[in-house]
Amino acid sequence: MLRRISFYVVIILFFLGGCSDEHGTSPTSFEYEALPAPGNFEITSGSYSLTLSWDYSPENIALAKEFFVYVVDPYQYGGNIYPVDTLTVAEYNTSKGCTFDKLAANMEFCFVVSAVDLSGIEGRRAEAECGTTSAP
Amino acid sequence: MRLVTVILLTILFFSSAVCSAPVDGVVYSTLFPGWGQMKTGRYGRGTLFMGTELIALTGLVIANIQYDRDVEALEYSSQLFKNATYIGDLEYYSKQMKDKWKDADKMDSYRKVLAGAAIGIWAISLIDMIWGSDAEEVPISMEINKNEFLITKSFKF
Repeated sequence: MLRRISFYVVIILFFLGGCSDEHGTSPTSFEYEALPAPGNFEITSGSYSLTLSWDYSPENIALAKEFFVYVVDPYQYGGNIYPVDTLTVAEYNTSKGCTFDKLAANMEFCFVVSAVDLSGIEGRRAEAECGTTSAP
Repeated sequence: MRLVTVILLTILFFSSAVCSAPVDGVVYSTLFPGWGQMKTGRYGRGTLFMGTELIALTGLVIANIQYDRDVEALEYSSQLFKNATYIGDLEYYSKQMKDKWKDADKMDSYRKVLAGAAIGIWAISLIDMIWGSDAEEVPISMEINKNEFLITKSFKF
């Protein structure tokens, strides 16, 4: 009988052992000063092409490494976005934007752009802008 | 010296109580609260101890399963947070991590309360078996007379 009791006591201890604390301490608050979204984001229509341009202040340019350009999925409401281009700061300083050519005529495309800081954290994204390609 | 006397008297009192208690009932109550009470004919108390113990243990198992799920969700959010590079994702997963941690912490508190309740019921059941039992009482008795017999079933609550 004593062995039986010991067996049950061991089971209870095992069960209580299974109640160990695994969630640790409360996660610390996340605070990070991310780069702001590019301003005056515009799309200019061209023949089978779209030209994207945006402004970014020199102070923020100094903190940025590159820009990400995304296209918005036209078939999903609220849409997923897919990266289509990366512009280095040097490229941006030269062109102040980028151009997509060889696109289908009379089609609407929506884009989103953002800046990436020197530690690789992508900043706020600009509101999506849309443009329609034209035929020559 | 006074402390030693108190301890010795307590041991003496406890051991005398244990010795005078029905051994089978104590053993059964050790195995599961209320079982010993049932065995000694106190069905009301037995049902109460068994019922509350079952509720506490069931709640404990459910809280434990939910806790494990919350911890898994917390670890998943933590992994997504570590892999995120976009500030929007970082903020979102950080908030999600906090929410999941709060859920896990709440479930952990429930688990501790329920484990405490289960152990408490077990202890009370044992104490009741040792001090509160009436070993003389026979749950079923039969009295045979000349032309009749009488079966008596007694219940204690």
